Amino acid sequence: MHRAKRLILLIYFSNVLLALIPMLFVEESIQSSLGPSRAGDHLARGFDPAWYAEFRTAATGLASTFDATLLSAGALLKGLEAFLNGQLFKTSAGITLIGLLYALIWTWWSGAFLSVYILQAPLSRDQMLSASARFFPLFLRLAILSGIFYFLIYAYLLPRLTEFTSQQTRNLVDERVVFLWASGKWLVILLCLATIGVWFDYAKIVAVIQSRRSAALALIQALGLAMRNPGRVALLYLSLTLIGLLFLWFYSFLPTKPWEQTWRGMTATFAAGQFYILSRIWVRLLSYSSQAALVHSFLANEMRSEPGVPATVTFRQETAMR
Amino acid sequence: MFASRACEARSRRQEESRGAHVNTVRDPTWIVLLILVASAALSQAWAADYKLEARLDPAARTVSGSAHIRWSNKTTFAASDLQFHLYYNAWLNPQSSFLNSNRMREEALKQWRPNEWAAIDVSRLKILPGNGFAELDLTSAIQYIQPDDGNPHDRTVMKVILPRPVKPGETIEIQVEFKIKVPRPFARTGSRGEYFFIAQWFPKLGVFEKTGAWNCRQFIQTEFFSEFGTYDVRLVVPGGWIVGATGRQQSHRQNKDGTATHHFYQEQVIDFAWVASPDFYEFRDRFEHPHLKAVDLRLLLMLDHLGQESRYFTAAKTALKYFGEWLGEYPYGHLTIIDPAYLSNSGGMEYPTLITGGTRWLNLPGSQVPEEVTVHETGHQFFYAVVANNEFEDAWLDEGLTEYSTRKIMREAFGSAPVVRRYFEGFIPLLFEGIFQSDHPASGLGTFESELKLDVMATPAWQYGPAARRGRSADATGLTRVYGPGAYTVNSYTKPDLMLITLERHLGWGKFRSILQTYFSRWRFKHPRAEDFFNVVHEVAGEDFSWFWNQTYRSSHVFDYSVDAVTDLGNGLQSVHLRRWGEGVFPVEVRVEFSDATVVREIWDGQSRWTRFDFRKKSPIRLVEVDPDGKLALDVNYTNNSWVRKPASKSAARKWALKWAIWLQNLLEHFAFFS
Repeated sequence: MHRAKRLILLIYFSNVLLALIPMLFVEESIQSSLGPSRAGDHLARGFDPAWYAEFRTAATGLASTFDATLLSAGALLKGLEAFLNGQLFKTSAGITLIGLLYALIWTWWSGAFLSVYILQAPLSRDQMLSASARFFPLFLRLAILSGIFYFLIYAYLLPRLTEFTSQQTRNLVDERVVFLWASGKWLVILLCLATIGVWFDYAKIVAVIQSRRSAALALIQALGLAMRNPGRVALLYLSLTLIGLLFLWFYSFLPTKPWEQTWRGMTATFAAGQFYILSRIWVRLLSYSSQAALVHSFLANEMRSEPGVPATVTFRQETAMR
Repeated sequence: MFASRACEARSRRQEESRGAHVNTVRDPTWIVLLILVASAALSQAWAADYKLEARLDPAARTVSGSAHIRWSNKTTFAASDLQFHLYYNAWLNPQSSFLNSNRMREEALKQWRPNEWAAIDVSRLKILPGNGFAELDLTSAIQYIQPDDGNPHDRTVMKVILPRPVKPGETIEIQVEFKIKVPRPFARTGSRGEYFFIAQWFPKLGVFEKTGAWNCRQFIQTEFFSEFGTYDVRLVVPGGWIVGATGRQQSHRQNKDGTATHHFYQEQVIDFAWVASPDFYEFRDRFEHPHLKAVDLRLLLMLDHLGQESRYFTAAKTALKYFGEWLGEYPYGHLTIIDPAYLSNSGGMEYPTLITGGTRWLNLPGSQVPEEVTVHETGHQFFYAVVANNEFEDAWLDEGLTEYSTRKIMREAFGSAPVVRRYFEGFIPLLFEGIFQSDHPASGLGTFESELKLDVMATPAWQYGPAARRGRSADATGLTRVYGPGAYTVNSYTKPDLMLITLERHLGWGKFRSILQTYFSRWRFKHPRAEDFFNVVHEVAGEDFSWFWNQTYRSSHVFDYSVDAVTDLGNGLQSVHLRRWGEGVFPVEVRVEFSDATVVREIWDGQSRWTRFDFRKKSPIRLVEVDPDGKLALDVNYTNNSWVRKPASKSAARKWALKWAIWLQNLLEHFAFFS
């Protein structure tokens, strides 16, 4: 992991930058709404629901996404809910644009990440840029292709599952049973999203290891590898998910209470938030590195089983970087 | 039989009222007065008494029933016909006036199956012999009329021309056989699984008003109006099912066919609703108070809400205490609380001596659910059940007074309501400590495009204009409405609440409480109109408030006062500029605080569009507030009511924008999944 330290920071700062620039617009919007009123004092000390009710009816653009409950677990649950039900892309046009830009940044640097993990050696700045540039067209095609699958999940599978669960529960009077049905629906959606995610991640790894340029071939080979080793693939993904959930759990313990306007309080909450973001980036990179190691081992095993192939598979830096 | 019981009860009341005075009074003047009181009591004898028998068939989702109705003409006009509400026909077809109205086009309807629509079919209607009438079958004379919109597809009002008019003071008895098809839950009636909530289910007479005309409106809005009467009801449901209903349960008998008959009886009520389900758990408690009549409480709770019974009871007792102390005694002595089944669309509704609450399986302590809804619906026992205004025309009278009282009780007894957000289709709740729901509801209604302008409050409730244009929103039951809350909600709940808060703060609680008490005691078991409430206000306050009603009730004015600017003219001369942005005019106070901590209060009559107050003082002005005590709750823009020399707006905006940014950072990581 430490080999990608610079990349982690790069990604993190991209995240911060992409969030802080629009934050200035929201800040301006809030400040202008508060004007020279006492509501500013109330809001600085805690919260002012009357002001918020007014702000909410008048806010437009990015500011309309401001919500008093975007605190700690509230922010997590709202984000997770939007991710699972596809509302992520409907939050606001501005946020979708920023989000896609961030996804594009990840797509760009993925080549460098994977090269680092596969070569198991740090890369120079030029080598990172070169690796990113080399794999970006292929990864972009893969991202677009995966987007089609995700679209199918959100636009076709989810509404049908919702209709199905609604029909199955239409005469139930116990909310707990309805909740179980709904949980089943969300689990199916989560599994589908995860399956597509893993499949395309493996395709990227295969492409880097084998220097492939064909998205289709990479996908076919990735699918083959995953199908031949479903247990290990699932186990790894489950472990990574659990690590992610652990961080989420820790973060959710932050109080759902607006902090007092003290530098200490603000800094502490901001630091906790940043720690959580860093941990999410770290988990994502951990999944890349562990998946890369897994694919590496799959390929090594398969090559070993073929006659006349040496027992160890090595990937030369030049191959990856050429 | 029910008629004789009602007569006995009336005699008892007369004897009691006589007994209280006769022994102590010898003066003939008092005897004359007594006779007047007794005759007044007699004239209050209930106009429509019902003896109902109904049999529920859960498999077929039908209720077969018969109604023996005894109606007395209490007016000075003869009634040549009878008019009945057939509410269940509101869901007979999509062309009914109810479903055809803008407010009620529910997307949920698309999910209804053909056998899930409702209907009420009157198979027989006849005059019973007696009271000067001969037995006569009028079934063939049944007509469906549409007095309000002429929609020929609407069959919610039934009329029969009588062979001869019912003269003033005369009584007529009729027998009606009917069968209802219970719909999917809609507008607080219907069934889901084995939960049957049956309201507005029998042919119910309209109100024959003093003007000599029937007030029997088509069912277009979910509000009602009916005459006081005695209800003697026998309900046959499957054995083992639990039944809750208006009135006290008189008996419970197991039948040989596996069903059970539940007998309920109640006098002096305007309606009868009932619920039956095998899924209920029954709890009992009792409200006791040193100065108020005790009330037996019965709670029917769904399995998934076990553990929340004390919350329901606490809320109901709190409401009975406050309403009782503020207004007067709850007269019925018992109250049934129904915890509605999940997604049964029957929560938050009032019927005489029976209310429906509403809660969720995962419900956090401090969330004020189900407390608020329980307090509100219990409050309706006072404003709706006892003081029974015409909800078709003046929905605001009971809803507004109840909403106002509920908010006041909730503040005093339960404190500010924290914000609770529900995630994942509403299953997962999260309570935000320190973030409270606005105590200033006008703030959320917009300023220049305020929802307060959607319609004039004086418009009859059933004619309120189209709903708000804010688009779709999921309500608490999970149904998605095409339209958001509109003119009906604003003018029946929010605006009257704001209007009454403003009046209370203007007059002071002591005087306002006297107004409420006078209104309640004067209009108990009667049907007041808006003007009657206004007259009580004028009488008790000793002041004509027409200027206030003209701006609030009879127009859609909005109120908005602001601190426009504070200028320093030098030599210690400082000016405070105030402005009136809204059309509404109300006297407001201005509070000016100087840096040396001195405070000056001024009064502005609020008439002109702007005004200026000059102060000559070395110490600079630190803070200016117009309406500092928030008396004008109708002010739609609270933020512009104050001016601070050194506002904390910048740091406050930074703090909250930073929170938003962390949320966005989180969201970006979700987007990264798609890279």
